[in-house]
Amino acid sequence: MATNDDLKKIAQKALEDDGFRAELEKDPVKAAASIGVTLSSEQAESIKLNAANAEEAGSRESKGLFSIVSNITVG
Amino acid sequence: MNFNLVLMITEKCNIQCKHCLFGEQEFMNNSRDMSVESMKSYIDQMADISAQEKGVFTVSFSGGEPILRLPQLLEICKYARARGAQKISSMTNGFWGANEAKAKQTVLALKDAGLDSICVSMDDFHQEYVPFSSVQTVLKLLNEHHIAFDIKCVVTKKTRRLAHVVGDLGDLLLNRTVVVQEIPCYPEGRAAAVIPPEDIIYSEGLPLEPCAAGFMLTILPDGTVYPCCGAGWSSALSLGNANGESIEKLFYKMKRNPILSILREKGPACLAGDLEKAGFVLEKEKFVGTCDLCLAVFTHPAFKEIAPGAAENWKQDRVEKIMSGLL
Repeated sequence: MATNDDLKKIAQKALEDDGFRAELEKDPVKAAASIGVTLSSEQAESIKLNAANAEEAGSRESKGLFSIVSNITVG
Repeated sequence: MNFNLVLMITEKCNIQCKHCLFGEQEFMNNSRDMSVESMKSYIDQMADISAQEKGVFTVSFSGGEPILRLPQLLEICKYARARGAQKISSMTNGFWGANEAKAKQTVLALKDAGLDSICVSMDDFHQEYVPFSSVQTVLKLLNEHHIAFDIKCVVTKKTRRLAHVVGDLGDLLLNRTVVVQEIPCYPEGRAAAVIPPEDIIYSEGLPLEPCAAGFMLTILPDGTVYPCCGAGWSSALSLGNANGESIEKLFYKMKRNPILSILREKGPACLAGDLEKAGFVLEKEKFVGTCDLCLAVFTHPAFKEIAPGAAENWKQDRVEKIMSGLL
């Protein structure tokens, strides 16, 4: 189980590295392991759920627009 | 997840519409084609990304006028189908409907190659060059041979509106489910020089909608890659060049870039707000739509100054959300 310092290390890395943040959202255990941190299954699940919620909140509005914008190609 | 690959297979066009985003003479004189080898490579790479992401991908062909490259279009449609593209579509101005017998051969060939749908341009700008009867023939044949179609109509205050244009089709759309779309003319490309500003239909207030940047990867004939279909691309939006970098690298750049995430989640109005907060004003006061505003924001001389802060704020917010309840 990751300590509070380990979790801070993960947060700091996620702020500095876009690739790491994306990997953390997709596979928290693997991303954390890449910087030497072992997450408990609860911690990993919590990160995954938070990431899914953040992604959903972000894309909710834009999904509605996608069907329209996808047709606006030049020609 | 659905990933859309848009390939501009040619910059060439057989007509010179007043509203065209790419209508500047210099651009038209230097118009290029995308090689079939490049198209195949891009589709291969997108198929691999799609499999890796456990999603599906669609391919759209744009231009210029894609049907000017019919043999290549047929070849690449078959290829995309074989590589598992879920949907394959193309744009056209419908010029090829002038001869019905030949048009029928074209429709049958497109269907045989695996093309699922065609987006047909139909408005006063296109009809200045393409007879309405040609477009009508194309739509009739698409109907008869069960290829789906959309109708795209670009308008200004001085042109006929969508309802009038579609009305000309009479019973052709009867009992058909067809996506019709009215698009305000953007004051870019040839339109910027030819269409009087007072004829442009502007949005009321600042366009607040988010955009689809990140859902579609658009590749130009020279390999330049954009995260959107672009109603006026700025080099600041370019992800790179597919001839020098892998599509995978550019795709993940698109997905992970904080500024593009802001566009997807909040739209360019958010970045316009950041410019304003930093004491800068946009050169234009009114905008046709989100793309217009996006271009104004990305080409603003001070954009480079505010972008790092905006990206940092987005990352901070995102990481706080991801780590919520743990720290």
